[in-house]
Amino acid sequence: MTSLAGVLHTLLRSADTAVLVYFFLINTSYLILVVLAATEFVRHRRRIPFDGAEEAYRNPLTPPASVLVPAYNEGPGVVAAVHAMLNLWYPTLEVVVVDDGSTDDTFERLRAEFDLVEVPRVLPTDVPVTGRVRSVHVPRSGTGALVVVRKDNGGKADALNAGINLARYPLITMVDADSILDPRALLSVAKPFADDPLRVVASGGVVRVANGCTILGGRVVEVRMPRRWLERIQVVEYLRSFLLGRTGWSRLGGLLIISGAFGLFRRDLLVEVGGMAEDCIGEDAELVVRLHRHLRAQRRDYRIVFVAEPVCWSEVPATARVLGRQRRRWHRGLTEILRKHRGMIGNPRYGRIGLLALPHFLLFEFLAPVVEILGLLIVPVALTVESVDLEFAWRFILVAYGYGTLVTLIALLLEESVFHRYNRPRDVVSALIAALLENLGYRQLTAVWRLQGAWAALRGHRPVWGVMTRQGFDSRSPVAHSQRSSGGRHRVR
Amino acid sequence: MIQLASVTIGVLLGISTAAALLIAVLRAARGLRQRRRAERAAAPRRALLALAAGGEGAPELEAVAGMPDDAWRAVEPTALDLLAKVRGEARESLAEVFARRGVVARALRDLRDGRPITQARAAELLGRLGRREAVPALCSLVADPRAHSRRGTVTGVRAELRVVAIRALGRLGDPSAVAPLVSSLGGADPAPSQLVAHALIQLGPDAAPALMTALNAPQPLVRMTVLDALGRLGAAGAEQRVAALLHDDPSPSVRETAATALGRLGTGSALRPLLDAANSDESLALRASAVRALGQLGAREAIAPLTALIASPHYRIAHEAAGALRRLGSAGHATLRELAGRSGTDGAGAHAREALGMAELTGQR
Repeated sequence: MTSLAGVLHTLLRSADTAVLVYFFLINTSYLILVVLAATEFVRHRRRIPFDGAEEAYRNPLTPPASVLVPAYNEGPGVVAAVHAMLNLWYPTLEVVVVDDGSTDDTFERLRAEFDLVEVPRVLPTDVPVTGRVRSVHVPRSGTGALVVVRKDNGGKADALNAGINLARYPLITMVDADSILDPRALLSVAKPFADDPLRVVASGGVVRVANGCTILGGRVVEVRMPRRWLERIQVVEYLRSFLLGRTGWSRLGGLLIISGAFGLFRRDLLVEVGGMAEDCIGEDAELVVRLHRHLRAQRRDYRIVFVAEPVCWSEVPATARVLGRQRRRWHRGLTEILRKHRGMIGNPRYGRIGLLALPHFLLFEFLAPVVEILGLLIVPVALTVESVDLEFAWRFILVAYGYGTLVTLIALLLEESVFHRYNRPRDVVSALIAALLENLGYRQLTAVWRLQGAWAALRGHRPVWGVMTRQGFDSRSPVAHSQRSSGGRHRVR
Repeated sequence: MIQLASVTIGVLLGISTAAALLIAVLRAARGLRQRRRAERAAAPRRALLALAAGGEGAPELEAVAGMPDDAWRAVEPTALDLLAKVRGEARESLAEVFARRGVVARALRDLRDGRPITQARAAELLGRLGRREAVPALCSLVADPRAHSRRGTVTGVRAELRVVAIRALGRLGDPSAVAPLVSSLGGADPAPSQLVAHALIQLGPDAAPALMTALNAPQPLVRMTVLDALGRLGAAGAEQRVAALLHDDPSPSVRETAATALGRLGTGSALRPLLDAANSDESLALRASAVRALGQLGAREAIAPLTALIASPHYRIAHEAAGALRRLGSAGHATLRELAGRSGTDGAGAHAREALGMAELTGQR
């Protein structure tokens, strides 16, 4: 009995140490990404005076771009969003809105605003589409750069595939209908294609949180922190993970995720890899992994890059219920991608993607909630059986979360010194407090939701699609949330 | 173990506090700096805007050219922005201010400084100011072999400097820049071709003879870029050489670009080579480019072959043929109407209906 207790004590102590080491490694990996991002930001800042944006706008050879906007029940905001996209600062673009079987007035609003008429159109079949395309519409003037496609509901990936088929231009950007792009955002994400045309195949723009910001005419005119702490914590989280994390990965040549809210791709390559995968809930990240796989397998010299500024603004969930659903989906998507492309993990054939990026995602993204929950369970058990004493336990927790907080604070420091989007002192204070509050319940809750998402993917449950939280962006007041239901296959992301 | 954890907590707390304080200090310092800059720039900015609105010889020219250094530093970024926005005498006045304040002389020195960022800033400025005396130094930067070095996935700083110099040469519009611009497309890490093509176009028709010579370059990328530039320049007398490349060039990409260039050059002599390419067993991309170019020529002789091509089983060929017929005016539209009248799921009829639909909307019928 004594020996059994001894074994248990040893096991618990070992597990404690393992969890601590894991926390150290995961936060150190984030810190490395943050440092890499910092070097990239310094480089970016020094080049602003001669970045050639004006020149790119005037250059008739800047490749034209098709902006694909999948829309499902986006009635309240779709008109403002399309206006904003049509007014993007870019030499030649078309906006292709794919109404994926909306049951609200999405199409009617578009028809009324842009005076749409149905036109005959022969649809190419470059990539497979499941939902039947019902009709194609353009403005009566015939001179506009807008095309609206109505199709049977088939999900976001299917809507994007329909858009890829209809897109006329060599570059394709995919933008969520509820996203707001900075006026120069498209030109900025297209710049890598101009600077390195032979190698760049895709680029992603940074996504920031629109909650709390003042929106006017489809533009963010004043950046502010949201009012709710749940949203504020997500602002801090987005800065650390999306802005700095992805910049760091881009610097390493291992960018695996281009957000579905804002990415730019070469159309010929999208066709080459068969378009968006409909069997994966995280179709945006899956596409990038598939591109890596395809291009690495063919030993092609290519780059997938991340652009830190300007940005795409997107609403984040304002309630724990919606946030939970989002995080379950995100982790479910990650799990599906890792499972689908497991042959790439640790495979030297895929270079730094196989040996660095994917293992990192497996160890520090997929497994993180498992270890976090395990850690949270072990500490009280170890305290109960007196495997560790209280003195050690609270220090253990402080070290684990303290390092994570430090990484977040460094991310905030970088934001303040390079981008300083939040001008009000109270917003900076809110961000600092949010960095601390993130550890008190938020991380633990998201860990539980992520675990549920992974479990659902591993058990092969059908994905649950559903509630969208949207409010029309065409308002003077800061973004607040209204909620409405939708039954179609689109997700909150 | 407990002691180690305590020390770690102390260190983490110290660094975290320092980071938080630094954020607060940076925020406060930025606010203060912005306020001071705004105060310093207020009066000089008014003088600058008056100059931009006034024109050469205005008293504001003397005021801006003679303002104290700190006031000039506060408005220099605004002056640079204005330079890109104003034209005519206002622009000349602004450019003169830059010259009289010694900015041009300094930039010409900086161009040979050796530090890439300083050189890039100077190149950008001199390009915007239209200072042709910078052309030789800019050509040297474009031809710098160090621009071909790349660190892993990151474009080297010299390559970025080369890009800035290429843009500046385009703005300056000196045809003597053709050779270095074209040579930047060779080597291990060629310059971005669309930037080079744009710069070549900005050099104007005087650059055409040198560009024609560059069509003999061994690198396909050079030939494609030069073809692009010649097509957009509408270089008279280039048709035969371009048609020869469409027919003979070993690179499919060059042949495709030649087809597009022939369409842009838009002369009757391009009809036969384009028809041959459209009906060849070349790649779909090349054939589609040739079909599109046929529409740009405006030659009625193309109607019959396009009528045959619209029935192609390949979407791109049929789609481009329908578009080309639409661009050929009333005769093309009559053909499209005839095709559109065909019943059922006939591909040619569907493409014709699509083209007619667009023609109707754009008032081409």
